[in-house]
Amino acid sequence: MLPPDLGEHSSEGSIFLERTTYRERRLHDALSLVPALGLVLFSVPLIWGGSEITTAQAMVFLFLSWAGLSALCGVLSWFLPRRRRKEPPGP
Amino acid sequence: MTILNTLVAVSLGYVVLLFLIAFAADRIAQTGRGRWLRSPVVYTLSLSVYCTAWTFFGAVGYAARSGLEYLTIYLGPTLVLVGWWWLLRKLVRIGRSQRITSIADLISSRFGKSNSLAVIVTLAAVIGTTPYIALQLQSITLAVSAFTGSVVNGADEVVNAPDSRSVALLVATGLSIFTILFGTRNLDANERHHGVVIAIAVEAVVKLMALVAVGAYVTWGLSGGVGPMLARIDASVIGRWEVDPGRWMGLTFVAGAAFLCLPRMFQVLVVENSDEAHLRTASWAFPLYMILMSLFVVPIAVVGLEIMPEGANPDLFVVTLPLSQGRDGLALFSFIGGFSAATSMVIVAAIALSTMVSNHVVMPIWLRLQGPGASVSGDVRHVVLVSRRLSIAGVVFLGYLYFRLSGGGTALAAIGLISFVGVSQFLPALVGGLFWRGATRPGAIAGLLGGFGLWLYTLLLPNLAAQTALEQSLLLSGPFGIGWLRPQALFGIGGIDPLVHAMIWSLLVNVTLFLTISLLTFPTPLERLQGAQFVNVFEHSGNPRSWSRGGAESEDLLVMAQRIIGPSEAQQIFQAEAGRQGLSGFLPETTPDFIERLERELSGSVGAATAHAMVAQIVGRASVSVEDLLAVADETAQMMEYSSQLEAKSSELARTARQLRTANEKLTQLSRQKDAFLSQISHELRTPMTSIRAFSEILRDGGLDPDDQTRYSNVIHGEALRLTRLLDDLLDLSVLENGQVNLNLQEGRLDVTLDHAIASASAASGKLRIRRDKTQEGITIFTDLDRLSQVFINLIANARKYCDAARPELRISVHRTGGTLTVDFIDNGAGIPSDKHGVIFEKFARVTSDQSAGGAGLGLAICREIMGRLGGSVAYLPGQTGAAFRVTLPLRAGPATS
Amino acid sequence: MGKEVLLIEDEPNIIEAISFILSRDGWRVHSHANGVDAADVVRMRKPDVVILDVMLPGRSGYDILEELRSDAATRSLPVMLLTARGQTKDREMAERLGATRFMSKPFSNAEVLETVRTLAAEA
Repeated sequence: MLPPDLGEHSSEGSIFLERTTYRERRLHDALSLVPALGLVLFSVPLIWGGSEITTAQAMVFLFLSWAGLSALCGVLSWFLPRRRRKEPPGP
Repeated sequence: MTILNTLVAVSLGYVVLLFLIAFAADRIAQTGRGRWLRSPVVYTLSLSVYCTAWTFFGAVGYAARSGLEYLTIYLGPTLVLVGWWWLLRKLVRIGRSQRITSIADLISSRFGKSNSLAVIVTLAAVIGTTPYIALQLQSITLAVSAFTGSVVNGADEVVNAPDSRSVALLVATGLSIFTILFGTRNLDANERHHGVVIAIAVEAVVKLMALVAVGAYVTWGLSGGVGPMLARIDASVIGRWEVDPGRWMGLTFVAGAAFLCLPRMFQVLVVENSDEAHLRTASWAFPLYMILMSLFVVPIAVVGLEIMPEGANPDLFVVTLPLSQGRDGLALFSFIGGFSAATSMVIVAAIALSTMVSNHVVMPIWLRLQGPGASVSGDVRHVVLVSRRLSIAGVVFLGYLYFRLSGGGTALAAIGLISFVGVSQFLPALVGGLFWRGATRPGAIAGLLGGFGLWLYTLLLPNLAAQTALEQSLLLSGPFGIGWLRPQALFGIGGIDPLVHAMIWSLLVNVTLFLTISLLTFPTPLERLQGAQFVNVFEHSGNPRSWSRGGAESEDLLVMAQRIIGPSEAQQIFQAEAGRQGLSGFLPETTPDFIERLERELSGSVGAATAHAMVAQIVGRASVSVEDLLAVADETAQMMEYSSQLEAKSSELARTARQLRTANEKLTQLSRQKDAFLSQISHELRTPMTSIRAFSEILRDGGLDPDDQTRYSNVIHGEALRLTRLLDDLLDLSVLENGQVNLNLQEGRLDVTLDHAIASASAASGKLRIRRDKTQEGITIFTDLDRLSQVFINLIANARKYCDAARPELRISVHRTGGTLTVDFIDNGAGIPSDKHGVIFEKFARVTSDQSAGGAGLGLAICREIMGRLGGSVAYLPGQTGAAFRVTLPLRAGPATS
Repeated sequence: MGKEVLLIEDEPNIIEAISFILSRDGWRVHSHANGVDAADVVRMRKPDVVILDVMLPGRSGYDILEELRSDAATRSLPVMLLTARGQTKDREMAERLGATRFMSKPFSNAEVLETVRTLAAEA
């Protein structure tokens, strides 16, 4: 039997480690889904065919979703862990 | 001073500024201080070569004609960028790890470094890009004419309107010079151009600011703010949302594909990328840039349509609108913006295309003309540079020629989209090659040829000469009257937008051929190697081998490498490799690993296919060995990993077994030694005791004369001493073995110690002649001198006892290497048989059973223990004239460690 | 003239001790310090008693004994083996090879003298 404090401590450590990798994985998943979201947003105009949507309305929708998409991508990319790979310097 | 003169002056000033900036950037990069030249911001701005004059001038015209459809041109790239984790990341990683120089290089490299594939891609890229360059020249001349037109309209003075052809020629010449100067300054191993990239980044800022300035003027200056502007848009002729869904999706897709496949985009995205991490910035920053670039397009178009006279070219609204309002300065700024957009596109496209043409068309032809051995004769470096420069001039003037011949009539946007559909034919081979290991070279070739052929037939051909009668009949009734072959309605499926029609058919055929032929054919070994490396670029960064250790001559390779990448760099690579292999000098072993790496270095200058061909000429074989074939079998990496682990394990086992066997042999021998030792110690103790007992009994019996009495007492005394000595040795050894000895470290001279040892050891017998070289012995040492002397005495005494030569002689020679001293004791006797070498340092080991030797066989064991304590060693030196022992010790003994 | 004892032994002090003891008793003692030609010396000198050391330079005492026992002329010659290795297996070895007596070092002078006398009388 491990002393109780030691056991707790070690299990906490392992959960912490798993949590970081787990978060990183989910971050990758989210990042991979951004273009799908974009595709959906940019396909919305396709269903406007018969309706009375004005160019100004379309512009507002498209530019807002476009900016939102960029921002989302920026935020997700920002939170990606930065692994500084040591790369050979160019000659 | 007319506005035209101002225009010329400002343009020239701007060009001079760009030259200076590019020059300064190159200088800074050369001195190695230019880390900021390669920041994520610069990378993002350099991507703006996507926004050409077509975008700058043409987007407004596009919007004026088709409303919001122009946005697709930006939405496609946005999707590609925000999805960077999927594709761009992999593309950039491969581009960097394989030292890719162009999109042709990438596709050729992926499919077994096939040059025919590279040539196809190069030709297609040239065909697809030439009209695009023409477009840029055209837009500049059109914009210039807008200014002259305004002056003529003013009618104050008659100015010689510059001939549009001479303007285009002037621009083409200037761009060629700029591109040659900064694009071919050197053969960068990574094909990066600092000066050019910085100039492009500056132009990116200028064109964005220009367009935003005009847009802001139109929105706030002419329309009174955002709200009124939106109302004005809704009230205009393009106020209703009318977008063809097919075109919307199709154009978005084509734009995304073109963003990846356009040679100039590939150049800035992949080739000029200096750090993968820049992608994460560009992925959101460049969409923002594009948002700003397109935000004011509709307002400018709407206001232009309202204000400008009927029949005014909407493609020029960006310039003519401010001009018509008397805002000459703004118009000038706007022109500079458009000029920036046009020039940056031409420069980068020319660099990208010239690299492709030079690497995949000119170099292979040149190599073939030179015949075998070309790669090592003549200055390849020079040839590459010249061919690059000629290619740049050729590409730009091909654009100029197209501009001259086409007459400049077609709407700008049309040519841009045609070009997009053309280059998107690269997409199946590119993406398929990146994600599917089953893609083969024949599949890629078939797909490219089929798709590109259809593009030519259904899109370029109808567009090229839409006016001629032949063309009309072709379009209306098909070639030779075959109706279902009509270029814009294949198989009778008409009524679709011609562009979407061409896009669907060409890509459909492209993808189908690519997949089908790939499934039906079998990749060559090299293809499989490259395929595995591309598809699994994130899994293993190591490279499979494509070269077997062959007869590659290191020196030939060096000579060739010097000619391609320059002497100092080549020598550096070779020297580093030699160093890595533990060799000195410049000529490493030509391991497959090294050749592979060298080939990649070379491919940075001349492309993968050419580099492969050149190395093949020297190495003598372009095929792949059985070993390599095994390596590409499925689960390559794991198998190799596993087998190397097994190999390591089994060799470790073998090593352990060998060690065990040795240990066992030694144990057996030691066990025999131990038996002998018991007899030996018994003998060694009993012999002196025998004498002692016998003579003490004699003395006890009495009746001896005084002389005998004295003599026998001396015998008893001597034998008692002998017993004491033996017990001392045993004790000494046991103390040494248990590490309980205290060393008395002090400084002293080696020759003095030797003198002392020789004096002590030779005291009993002067028969042994000792030869020394005193000049070598004047060395100061820091050690336990008494213990060292003990070792020397032992070795000298051994030689005295066991050397069986008629005139025994002992040579003592001293050498010093670094901080280590070796003292050799070599006699001229028969030496020690080799089967005894292993045991002579063991306790009680005696090579002969010669009693007269007098020792108990502990001497060498003691010597070994002492030398161990002093941080050195004593060993038998085989292969000498006689018995030879080498004492090794550090000049300065550290404190005993154990 | 007393009887002759041939002493085959390499340790000088022991030679001197045994020689002294036996000569005092009237024996002629001849010593030989080398194992290689010891058997020849025995055949040449034809001693009454041989005292043979086991550990000799050149050749072991057992070998010499074996040779002596295989030769008809010396088969019954009294041989006393001397050894400093007083282990049982040495004694067994000596008996097997046909040593008349076996004595381990260190020995008592009286014992040596007694044994030589006995052996000479038996012969």
